[in-house]
Amino acid sequence: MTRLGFTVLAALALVGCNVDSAAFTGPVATRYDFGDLERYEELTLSAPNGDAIAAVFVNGDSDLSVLYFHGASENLTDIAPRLAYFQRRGFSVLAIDYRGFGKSEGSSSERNAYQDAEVALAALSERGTSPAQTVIMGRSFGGAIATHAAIREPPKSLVLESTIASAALAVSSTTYFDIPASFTTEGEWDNVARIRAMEAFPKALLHGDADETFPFWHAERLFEEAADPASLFRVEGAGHVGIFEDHEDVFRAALCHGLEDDERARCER
Amino acid sequence: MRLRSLVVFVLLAASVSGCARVRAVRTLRKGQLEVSWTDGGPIVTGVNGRTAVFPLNSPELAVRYGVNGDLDVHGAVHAVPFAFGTFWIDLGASYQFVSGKIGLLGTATLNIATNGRDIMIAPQVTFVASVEASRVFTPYVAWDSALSLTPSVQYLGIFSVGTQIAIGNVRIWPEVRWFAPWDDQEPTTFSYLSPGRGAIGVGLGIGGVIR
Repeated sequence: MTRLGFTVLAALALVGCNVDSAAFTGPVATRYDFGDLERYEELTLSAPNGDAIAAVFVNGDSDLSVLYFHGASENLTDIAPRLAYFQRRGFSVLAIDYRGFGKSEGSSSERNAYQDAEVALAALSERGTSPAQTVIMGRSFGGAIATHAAIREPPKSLVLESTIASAALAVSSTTYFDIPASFTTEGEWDNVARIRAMEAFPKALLHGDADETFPFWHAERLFEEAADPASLFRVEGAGHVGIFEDHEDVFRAALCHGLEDDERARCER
Repeated sequence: MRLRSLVVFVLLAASVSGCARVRAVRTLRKGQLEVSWTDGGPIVTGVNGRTAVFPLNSPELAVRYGVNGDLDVHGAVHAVPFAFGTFWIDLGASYQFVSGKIGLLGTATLNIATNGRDIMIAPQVTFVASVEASRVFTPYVAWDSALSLTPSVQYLGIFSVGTQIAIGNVRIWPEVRWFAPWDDQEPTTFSYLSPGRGAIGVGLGIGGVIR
């Protein structure tokens, strides 16, 4: 992105762009490419307002599932390698594109994404998977959607990768002067409040210590608020992107850490 | 990294809080009215690890009135917050403690901003020392102390160097600012131009005495 590009984007915002729709928006798609992924089916779920939510369900070899929430500016095609990875470790996987992302209809917003997460939870339940059999995982903004899902009923474990502590904290850390977060965004993305209110089930916070988008202190703050059992996985030298791709060992440890012994053995093999 | 949308979000967040320049270098004569437009802010040198050099955009429209030669009152509207439905003004007064070739001026300002949901109140005190080098040029140094009281108490100090250029009734104020000179730099979405602590910024004001 060039200097000119940023200037144009800023100028657009100055003439009235909605900051929230700009901050959480994803690439649309007319079709998905899941590469070599096997034993999967594309689903169409229904949002409360009737909008279609595109989803993919991947069959695994165990009773455990991963409910995966991707980050902003991603869609299901982008996470195909992760879907295959979870499947290789025995998990079934359900992942969705939030409204406004991929093939899903409607417009993107924090509120809509939370509703979409509830729809995904219900879809997983209809397939016979209870929250107690589900690892809920979210990356970046998807971490806030994951905590929304996890607070409703305790999952097997919660894994948050490179996620935000809250919009308010992100704003205050970006500026030299403390302004109310609502001056720039209606979004709350308040993982701090939700993780503080969560029951005691395993939680893993996975974060690169060279993350320039959400610096490492976001994970530290969430770790401070999380009831035990909680683990902080610091990935040395990792930025906002690349933990899965370049630090698979740490990624795997976070994914598997909340499982029972036999489950963990399968996950870690 | 495909979070350009997030970059817009934090870019604007930073712009909202970017201070452009000092309000007054010398007080106006009694009855004079000055209108000025200022833009600028900290200089960004990188976004998410990519090079992108530009100053933040923080325009302000200000009006200043000379009460008695030693005392000015001023008011200003900050333009960027309007993009978010936030009304931000600052109101204040400047007093010329020392006048002549060497000048010393103090300004007290109250920043008030609200979007109807939240409010920010931030008093600010500025001291400006200037030298009337010629009829045109009045270089100055300044120290700003701003204190946000809501949503949390936070102090921001700014050291500034600039000059007032007076050509007839037209005034131009180029200025370099050093924001929070003691602040450690830590990895954020933005990296600012910095000598190791705080951030360097620029401001440019253009105005005129209209009465």
